[in-house]
Amino acid sequence: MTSEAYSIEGGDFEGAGSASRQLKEHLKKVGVNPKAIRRAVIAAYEAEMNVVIYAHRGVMEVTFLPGCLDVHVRDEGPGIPDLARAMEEGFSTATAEVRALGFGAGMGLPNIQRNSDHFSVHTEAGKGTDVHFTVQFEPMRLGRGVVHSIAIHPDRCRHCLRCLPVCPTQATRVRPEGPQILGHLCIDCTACLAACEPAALVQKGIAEVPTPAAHTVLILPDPLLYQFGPAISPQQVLAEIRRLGFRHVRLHSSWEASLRQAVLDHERSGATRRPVISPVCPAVVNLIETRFPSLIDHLAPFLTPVDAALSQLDGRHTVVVVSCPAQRTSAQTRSGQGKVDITSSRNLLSQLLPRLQHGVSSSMAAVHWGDRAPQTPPEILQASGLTHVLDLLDTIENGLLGEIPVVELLACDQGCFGSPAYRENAFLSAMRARNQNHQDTEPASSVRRESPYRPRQGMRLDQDMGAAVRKLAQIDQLVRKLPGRDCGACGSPSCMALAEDVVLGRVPLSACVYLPPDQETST
Amino acid sequence: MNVKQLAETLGARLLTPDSPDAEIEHVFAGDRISDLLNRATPRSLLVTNLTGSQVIRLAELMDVPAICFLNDAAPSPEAMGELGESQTIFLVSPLGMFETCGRLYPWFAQEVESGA
Repeated sequence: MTSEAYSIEGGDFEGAGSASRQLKEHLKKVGVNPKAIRRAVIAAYEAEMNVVIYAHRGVMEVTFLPGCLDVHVRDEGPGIPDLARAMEEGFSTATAEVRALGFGAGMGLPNIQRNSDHFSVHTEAGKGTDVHFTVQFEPMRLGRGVVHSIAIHPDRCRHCLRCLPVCPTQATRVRPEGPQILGHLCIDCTACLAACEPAALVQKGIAEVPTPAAHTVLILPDPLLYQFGPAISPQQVLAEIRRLGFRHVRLHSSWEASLRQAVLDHERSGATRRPVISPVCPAVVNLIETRFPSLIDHLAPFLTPVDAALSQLDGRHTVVVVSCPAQRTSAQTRSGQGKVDITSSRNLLSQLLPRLQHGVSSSMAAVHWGDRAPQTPPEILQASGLTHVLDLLDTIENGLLGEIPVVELLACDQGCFGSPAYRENAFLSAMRARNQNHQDTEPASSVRRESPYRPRQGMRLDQDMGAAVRKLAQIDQLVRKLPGRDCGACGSPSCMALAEDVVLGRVPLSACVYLPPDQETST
Repeated sequence: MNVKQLAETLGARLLTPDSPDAEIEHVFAGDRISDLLNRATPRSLLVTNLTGSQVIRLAELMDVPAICFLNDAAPSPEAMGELGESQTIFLVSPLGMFETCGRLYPWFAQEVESGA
């Protein structure tokens, strides 16, 4: 059982409502369902306004009990002379000034009663009033447990801290024993992998390229075809892959194209809120579920391209080559029946490199210039790179994007071309892909998601709501003591993250290098 | 219905940036905070003569997408300063409550409710 208290100033019409607003923020962080938040906020606001209108000062005390919110609003004021009349709708003793502000309609106490499950008033003339109500709630339903595909080699870590500021969800930590990733926050993008020069953080263990059977299908990310300099055409790379024994090769871009068409059609149907966000990049889908749950309504209900490919080729032995941890995680959750093998672009590249590098002269004449790739349709806003993706998601969340029908957001620069799995510069290989465009001509179709998108645990501090509230208060208190430099020297990405780590017992407060030693033991 | 269409219907001006996400499904008109509080939802337009900071707070508290003020009377700049991170869109109708609601009525049919 834990409590919070918010003070209320009588007569302060300008500051009025702030206790209810703080209560609302806390209820959201604790994970109370929206309907209960609404009822609690209405009841709390009415009770708060009664203090502002009639009393000198008061306090709102909120106690979280299992499945129930218990609120007392106590004030030092004149008390209510005739409680029975005050409970009648429309009865009010408010002054004309107060009524002019829209208050004093005689609806306050009835309104609290209507929006609570238990309600009582104790009042004493000349002393004050205690309005007591409870609101029952159920915890918000959350998505399944989260798996991710980043492996850690602690022995390689140089404690350079570069992985801390790059993570879009503050999931990375650098401890004396090496880097850590908070699995419930990790969105499987490549930000920390790209920042980690000594490869202490890498894509999780992936089998070597398996030996193909005659009927095996290889699903290949397009950037892989453009990694060998201007003199090697995609056709040459494909010929080399065929020599490895893969006779049937499909490209990710086929399913990207069919997804794009499906999202455009879906947008015209009006079934999803504008701008419709295409689930083309699994890391961006994870990012939205983790940090932008309010945008889940904007995600088009289709499988990501790799998932769609696997679901379409179901039943055949398939080797899927993935460019990033997010692709690996989602491919792995679909590879149940043992007919799918997952390997990384890196593994395939290291097999191809020695075969393709030697003895090739770089003559432009040797380059096969295919048709230029089709341009992005005018109704699609495409953006790549985490900085821009985060900025645009913020813009969409704030409702400021304007009339854009569809957005395609890619976590890596130039999409998969920018994954650290590839050696060639993202812009260069993407340009080459546009100019020497090679497409696979076999049919590919988009696939509807059978399960809805779900917000991830993310912000929530504890499965138990009472415990979450208690921890929230401790974090609030602790963060005020910290220097606010967000320097990362403690190994957590920000002072707020350190406060959370300390309260959740992940690390001692002494990790902060700026805090005077005498304060270290005080929490 | 989006806010742009609403503003055109009323000849109202916008005090805050429009948001294409704001979808209005019903309208509630009234001048008492308790009534507004009870009827406000994340899909409602509130129509009111109140222009104090309290109604702005209320909109933020209840995640109301848009408020329409009346008689060309906008909230004071101080009250607008309360906005903070609120995403509520503010419209000012040149008309009074009767005519404003009258023009909105055909768009929302039974969904217009008038404050007692």
